[in-house]
Amino acid sequence: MSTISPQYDVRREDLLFCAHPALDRWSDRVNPLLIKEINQQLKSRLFLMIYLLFVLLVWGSSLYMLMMQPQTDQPDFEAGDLLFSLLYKITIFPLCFAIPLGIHQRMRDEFHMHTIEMLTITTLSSGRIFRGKLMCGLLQSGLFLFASLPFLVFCYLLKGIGIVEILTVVAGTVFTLLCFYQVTILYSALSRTRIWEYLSRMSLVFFSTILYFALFFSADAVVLGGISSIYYLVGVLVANTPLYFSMLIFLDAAHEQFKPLRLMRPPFRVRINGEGKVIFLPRLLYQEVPEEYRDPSSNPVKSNQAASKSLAKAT
Amino acid sequence: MSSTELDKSRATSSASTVGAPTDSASPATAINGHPNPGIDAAGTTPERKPMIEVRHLHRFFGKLKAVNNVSFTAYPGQVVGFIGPNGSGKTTTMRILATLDLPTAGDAFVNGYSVIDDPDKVRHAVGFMPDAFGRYPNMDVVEYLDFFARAYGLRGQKRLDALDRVLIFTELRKMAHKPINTLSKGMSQRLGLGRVLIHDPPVLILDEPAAGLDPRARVELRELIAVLSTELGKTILISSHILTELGEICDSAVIIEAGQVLASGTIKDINDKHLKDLADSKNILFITRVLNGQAEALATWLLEQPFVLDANVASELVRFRFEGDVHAQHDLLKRMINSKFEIIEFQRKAETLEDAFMAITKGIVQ
Repeated sequence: MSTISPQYDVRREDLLFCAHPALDRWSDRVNPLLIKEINQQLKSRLFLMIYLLFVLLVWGSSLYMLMMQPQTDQPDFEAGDLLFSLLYKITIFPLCFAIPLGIHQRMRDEFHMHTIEMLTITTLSSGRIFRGKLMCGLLQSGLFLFASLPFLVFCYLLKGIGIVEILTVVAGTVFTLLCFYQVTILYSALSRTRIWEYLSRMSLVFFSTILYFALFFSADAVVLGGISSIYYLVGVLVANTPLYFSMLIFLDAAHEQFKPLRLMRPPFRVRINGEGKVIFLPRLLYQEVPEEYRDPSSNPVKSNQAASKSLAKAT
Repeated sequence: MSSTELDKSRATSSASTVGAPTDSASPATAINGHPNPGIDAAGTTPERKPMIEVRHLHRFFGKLKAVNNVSFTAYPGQVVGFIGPNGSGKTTTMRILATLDLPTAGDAFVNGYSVIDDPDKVRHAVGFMPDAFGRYPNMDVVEYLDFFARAYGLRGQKRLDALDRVLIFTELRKMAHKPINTLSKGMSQRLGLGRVLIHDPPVLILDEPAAGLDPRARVELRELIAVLSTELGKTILISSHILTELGEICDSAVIIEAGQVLASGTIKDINDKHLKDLADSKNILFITRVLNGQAEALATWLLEQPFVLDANVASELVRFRFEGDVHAQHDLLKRMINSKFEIIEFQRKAETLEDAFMAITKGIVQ
């Protein structure tokens, strides 16, 4: 046991990931934001309640399907596909609604509580902040998928669905969620006013609903409709094109914006300039510097410094 | 700064004179290009580079000139009060120094690094405590500090050591596992200070740290700040509206209004200049205390005397403004005594930083 503050019994073990020196060393390599958000999620009653409800539903639906089986006299009864379809609909519900809305809420809180400013002035890059948020979303999805894993095995044992189909649908879902969560993080950072926050939340619910049904029907097409796994995966890649496109716009705008200004690592904010081009701005610099001062030659001090340097070089 | 150093500092903090870094033995007291580089252990005064240097800083928001040609310098160990009314540009300047904003023109340097050209290096050197202290939900004190230690790139034992010294220094050990959203305002400010200190920066920028604190918490915060500057050599830029308190903590001050610096220098210089201005204007406030309910009579009597501008009564005290020179003052006092007033006190009102501030600023709102 390693003690941090002996007099008041603050121990290393009290910190998540620090229970063992090896784990502690390993945790240094983990994104700090991921550790923070896991800490917070594990203490969040709402998250725990949703998770518990989810587990109960998955248990219940599996038991229901198992109880259905003896009532049939057919020896080749195959209920695996039906159970998978039911489990899948239950599983993707929190993945499409609870997690994106949680991401939106946490991003909104970061801006409202000014914690994003404190994050910005640490040595964390905006990329790490972004990845930390994304990984947290994916980890939560992983928790839900992990909880439904034993029941997915039931599906296989009940016959009617192959392991390839199960893995294909799970992979397609995870890939789609990865794209969706990335756009959700960027989108959540757009909210400026209360009205805009409300609208963005409503639109997020709308897009989540579309995503839910898209995943729902596409998985059913594979499991119940007999579409091949290859077609499904191609469909997933094609259907996610708008999401890659949105990400590319954000990233391109970010690159364009930051290269000339050499600014600090940004939180995320997008605006459209006069020419209709999307510009990615760090939120903290949203009060834009007037155009006439953006050119260093019109900045009296900077131009004086530049002149002094060139003079010093020349002499 | 090692853990031992901080421990020692805490141990001696209770014995140190609170908010009195302006005595002759205190570190640097200089500003605006007149460095008094401080006194080292050997009693010599070596040249030191400025820790904060603001050069012709401008920050415009459209037509609003939030910061308009602000320049000042702060040296190691110095506590600089940044004073100004609301909307005067204090927070904007501080945010630029903390790399949260960019200047429209001019530049600012922290530990020799430009906030424009080397924001990453500036971030290592600065700890910024904004007035709005953001709290994360579902987190306790030690987790909060641990997160920021990780965010500042502290690894392994260094991180644990940093947590240890900050918990000791801010005296938050007892509350290490208390959720941060249940902390009192005073404890929250301590936690904010702990966050600022976690990566041990040489420069601290504190925006209104004492706002909303009760008197005890304010005194405790003042003690911590005094320790940080006098014993740990931190350069501190601090803004506050409680000027009497700043006068006790700071050795220098910059008074800013409408984005422009109106006065800067040591607290003593600013007060002296203000007193000189008052002496020149011959408009001085005097306070007289009399016995046996003579206050009303004295006030009436005073109003009949030459050079007396006004007179007010408050209990046994009579306050009056006088525009005569020292000889006239002497004559007035002599006449007062000859008129059988039972005077037990006669003094010129002591001028404070608050008085200087009120005299220097004009109440301009942008």
